Amino acid sequence: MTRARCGIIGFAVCLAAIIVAAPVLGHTETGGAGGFSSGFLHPVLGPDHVIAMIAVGLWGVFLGAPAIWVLPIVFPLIMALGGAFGMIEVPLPAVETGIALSAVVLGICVALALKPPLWAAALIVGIFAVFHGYAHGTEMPVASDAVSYALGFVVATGLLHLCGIAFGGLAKWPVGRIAVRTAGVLIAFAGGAFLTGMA
Amino acid sequence: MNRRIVFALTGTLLWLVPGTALAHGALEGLGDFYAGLLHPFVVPSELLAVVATALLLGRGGRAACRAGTVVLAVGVATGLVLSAALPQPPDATPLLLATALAAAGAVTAGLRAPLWLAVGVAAVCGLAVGTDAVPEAGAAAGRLWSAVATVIGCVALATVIAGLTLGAHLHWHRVAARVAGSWISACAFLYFAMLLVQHWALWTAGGAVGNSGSGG
Repeated sequence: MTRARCGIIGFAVCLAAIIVAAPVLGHTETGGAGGFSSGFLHPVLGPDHVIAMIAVGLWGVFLGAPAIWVLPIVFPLIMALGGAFGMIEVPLPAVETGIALSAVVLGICVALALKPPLWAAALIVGIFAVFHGYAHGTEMPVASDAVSYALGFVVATGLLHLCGIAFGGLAKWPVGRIAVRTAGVLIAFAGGAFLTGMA
Repeated sequence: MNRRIVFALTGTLLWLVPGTALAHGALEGLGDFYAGLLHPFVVPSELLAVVATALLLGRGGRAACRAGTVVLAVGVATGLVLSAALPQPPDATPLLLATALAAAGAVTAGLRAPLWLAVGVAAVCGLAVGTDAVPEAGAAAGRLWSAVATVIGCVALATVIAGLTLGAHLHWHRVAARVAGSWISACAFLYFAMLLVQHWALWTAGGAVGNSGSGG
């Protein structure tokens, strides 16, 4: 068995274990939005969040180094800032529209394999990160265990980025590149469906 | 055995072992030793602080790792003793998250802390973990056993993370450390934002009560 195959199998086992494992909860959990599981499930159960986060990972692959690792580092920090805005109830108009628009824009960027300068890509992703963080943050004040909730949604978001990066790895091959760009088209269409209220 | 398989199996076990472990109450069934040993693993604020500190120590080099882990152990022991002596131990969560934010922020920014600073952060982290993990009421021997296990668990976790960070020679290893730092920083930042909101709500509620009281 090759080392690469071992790595893939190990990654798959770990991923399966993550999905199967019951949540680790610190202290007691009360209320609907309490704890790690609530935070983890919030981005995962929102299809608009899921496709946008995967699109960030996919786009990072097309942008190449250093964007591929700068985006997953910067995104959670800006998302946390958006989360703080949500908690403090800073007025931010059309949050849901912004989230749906993020899927459309990021999907188009992946579909067209756009390669803007790093600052421009970081600006686009950063603006949308504020919207995603805001949506998570507005649910956080009722959470009984803030640290677990924050840990849950940051980890879930990061894993979705990694899924995007992993799938984007197919772009090394010509057929894979077509598959990744097709995924971008699908994400843009799904974002459009959320934007127009069709989904 | 292939190193990747070992890492994959270790990762799998780490995810599977916690199960539905709950801090304090549900850990009682495990016995004093395992309740103490797992405490830094299952209380998120302690876990974040220890991992962030270990990342900082690992990036600081071999000397920081050696001195830092010893100071961390002494700090945890000191925190446990001091908290046990107090009738009502203080809430150490803000200190734990402040330590995590400072250490993880430095790791995310790619900074290497000087030896004295890295060791200082380890000392504060140890004290905070010890204060937070003080065993609840029970037999003296059981509490002592639990406290010793907490020191072991905390130092073991820090040593493994610091060792992995110290041995990170490949580019993606260093990136993984910075991504971990970024995630921890984000969690800690959100906690403090929430703390601010809670204090603001209490302050405004207090003001409202005060106004209604003076009005009546």
